[in-house]
Amino acid sequence: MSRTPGTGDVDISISAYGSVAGTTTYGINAQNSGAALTITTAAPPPSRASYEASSHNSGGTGLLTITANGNVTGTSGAGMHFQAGNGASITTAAVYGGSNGIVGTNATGAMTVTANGAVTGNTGIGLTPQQWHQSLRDRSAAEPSRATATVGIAAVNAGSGFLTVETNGDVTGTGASAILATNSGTYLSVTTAAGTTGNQRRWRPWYRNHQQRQRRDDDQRLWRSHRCLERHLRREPVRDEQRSLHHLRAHTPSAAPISASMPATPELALLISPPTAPSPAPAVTASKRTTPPLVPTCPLPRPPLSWATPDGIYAHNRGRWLAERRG
Amino acid sequence: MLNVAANGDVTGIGGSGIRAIADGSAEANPGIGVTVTTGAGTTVSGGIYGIFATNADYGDLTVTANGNVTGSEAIVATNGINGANLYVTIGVYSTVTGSTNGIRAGNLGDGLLTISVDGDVSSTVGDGIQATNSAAGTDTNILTAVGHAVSGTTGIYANHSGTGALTVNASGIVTAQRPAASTRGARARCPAIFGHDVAYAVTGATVGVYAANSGLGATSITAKATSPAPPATQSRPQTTAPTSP
Repeated sequence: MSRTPGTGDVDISISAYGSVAGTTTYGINAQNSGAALTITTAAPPPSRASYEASSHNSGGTGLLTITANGNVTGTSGAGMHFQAGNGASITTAAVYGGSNGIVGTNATGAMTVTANGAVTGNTGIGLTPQQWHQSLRDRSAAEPSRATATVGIAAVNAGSGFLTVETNGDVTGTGASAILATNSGTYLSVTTAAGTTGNQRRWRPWYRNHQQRQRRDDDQRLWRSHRCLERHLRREPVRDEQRSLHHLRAHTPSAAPISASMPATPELALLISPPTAPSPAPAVTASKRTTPPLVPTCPLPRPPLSWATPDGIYAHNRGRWLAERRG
Repeated sequence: MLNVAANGDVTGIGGSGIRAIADGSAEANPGIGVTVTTGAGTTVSGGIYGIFATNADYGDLTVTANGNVTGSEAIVATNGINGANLYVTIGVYSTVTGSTNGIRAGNLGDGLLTISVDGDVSSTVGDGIQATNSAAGTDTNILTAVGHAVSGTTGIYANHSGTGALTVNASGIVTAQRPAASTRGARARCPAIFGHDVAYAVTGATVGVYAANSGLGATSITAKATSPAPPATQSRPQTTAPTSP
């Protein structure tokens, strides 16, 4: 464990044949309030192929860099858990979490997560939706506690830069989405090269106090507005009225006749005869349409958090909303 | 800008295969938007949606599926009022299969709505392709390729309110499936193509192509292939001539 309240950089390097194992807690637990924090591990022997990493660089002014060339296994907790203050660059081999696979947040700057091996979040104790909210609002790392929504990779970038998630191995969220990527910056990119599987949810909403109930209400409002837009887009014309050609012609501007192509070859077995010239078209204005133009009457869609519907990939670029919610 | 590229299989057992949402920018920027791309030979499947893409941001929404996509609704693409163009492209040898709808695309932006299909699209109980372009939009284009099929209770459903033209160019087979139990045995097989100007008088029958234009532009419907031949027991011939009001 390394804890440095100073102002300098911290470099932790595990040699080629070294191994780190935390019997009850983390194999590596590095906290830095200084500048950059760098952790590099080489590929350990197969028999000692695991460690659990927790890195907090939330107060640091430099980049948090973790390069794990060996497997990472969190027996009961997350395989890798990091909290960056000023940018993060995470590169891993295979990661297995007893709860989540990789969970990380970043406060400012850019964030890159590259998983070159399989990442698995198992069915243990994972993140709660409230903690996810908390991580978005307060830029603090979400500590696992009591819910059982487990993800493969959860990456929250509260910074203004890029969030890039790249996976080259299978990613599995046993109890929730496989990849959760939320960015308040300018660019969010998720690229997968192998299988990505999110599974059924395993959590039940749990609201302990007024604040949490307010968050529940927020979610419900967001969901309703999303459904509102859905209904709006699905609204169909009144077909009974449209069965009337008179109705059709009366609402067809003369400058825009309806035409249908004529068959040019015998293969065109169906012929749609061009209609006769529209009757002297009355000046049609939008106000005369019985089918009003589609104009949204509800707020922009704000879907619920993906915990409710575990996805393979959930990618959300939500800077404006996040800024609003921060007040 | 939100970019999702899936070059491997993606499965969302209880949700979506891919859910991509952007609502992050406070100011217009031509460079932003949402792009979702799946690689050739991949399968994206979801318990609810195969691909669910929403752009409540500025810019274009582009969904390109070069592999298979399945879901209760296979592809749902929504471009919000700040958006511009909406493109949905289905690549060669791709299949899009949904029980509710194959492709549902809604554009509230001020640009084009273009759906280009080089693969097969099918829906069990809904529309093969459902396209809705709002009054803020311009043209609506739906193009299907030769040798590929689009099928659904309504094969292609286009609701256009934009300022430009509505164009449906079906070079492949468009099949209107007979609805399920509620109408079985009582309906005649409908013509493969309907426009408002042609005939919508086959009450209760399914529709190959349904094109509604309440916008300002012209409507153009082109078909180069037909639905499968009607069954021998059909008592009602296909209707292709326009019906007088």
